[in-house]
Amino acid sequence: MSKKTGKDPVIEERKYVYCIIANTEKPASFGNKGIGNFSEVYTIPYKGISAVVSDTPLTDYQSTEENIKAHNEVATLVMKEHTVIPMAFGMAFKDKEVLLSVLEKSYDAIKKSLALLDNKVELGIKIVLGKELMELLGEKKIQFASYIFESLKKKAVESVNAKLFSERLLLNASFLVEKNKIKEFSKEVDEVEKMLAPKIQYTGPWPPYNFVKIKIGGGE
Amino acid sequence: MFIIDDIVLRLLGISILPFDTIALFKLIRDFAYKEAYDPPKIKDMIKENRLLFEIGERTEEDYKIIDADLREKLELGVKAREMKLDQRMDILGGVA
Repeated sequence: MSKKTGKDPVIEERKYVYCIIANTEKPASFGNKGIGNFSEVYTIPYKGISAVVSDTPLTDYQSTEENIKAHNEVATLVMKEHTVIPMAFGMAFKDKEVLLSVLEKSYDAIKKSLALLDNKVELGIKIVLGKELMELLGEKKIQFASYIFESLKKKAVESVNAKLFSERLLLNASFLVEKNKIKEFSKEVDEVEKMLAPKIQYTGPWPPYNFVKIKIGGGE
Repeated sequence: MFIIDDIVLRLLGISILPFDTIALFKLIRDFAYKEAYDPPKIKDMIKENRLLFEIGERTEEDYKIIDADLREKLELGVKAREMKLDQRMDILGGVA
């Protein structure tokens, strides 16, 4: 794909939204990283909040690895400088006016969420055990997972236990952690790793995808 | 020409072993299809494949082959559900 050089106002009016941030009325740019066409990622301000968007001719993006990665990379980049409310993948609005009207309708909820998420990030933990060990633990694996979850939860502001999508998974959880407590949280993860020497996938910081429950209209 | 099939015979209360066996095979086949092309289950398998690759238990080559296979199955499974291919119309009423 080549970088966009010019803009067609007719086909590029649709706005693909990555996240919402607290911002002044001043528009900002985050480079040419737009999903699908490497168009500019920029802000559309509305009363002290801003939607981070790129122009796109499409309304429907397939949830391919490449597209999801592009979406997440923008949200993660913006997160380095701002508190973000990440949008679900695939939110494209017909035009700026439709997007602004949605921001207006969700304004109070967005402001509350931004205050709640201020200076916090999401960290993800997946604990994988060998098949034999999982069988050996039997019913006890639930207690063991719960013990680990509770010990990590103490270092977080909020936590979510997600679906165990594999028989090898002991724990699949996300934690909302204050930025200045990430080290403390990581130490706790190290302690868990020492217990049964499981394989731990410790990821983040992520935009807090699992801790925002604002529903805003998408598509047209 | 009037063809008597297993549905008609069963309605008449007549059980013929070969027909019953065929019906049983059909049931097993349908069940196997549902299991193999169940979209939520395939989505979980896609995630598991990714996870095993990321923690170093699966090579990139294996990961890609399995991923492509699972995504193909997922597409088929979603299409089958959309087209209700797993349901057969019973002309005597209802959806089987």
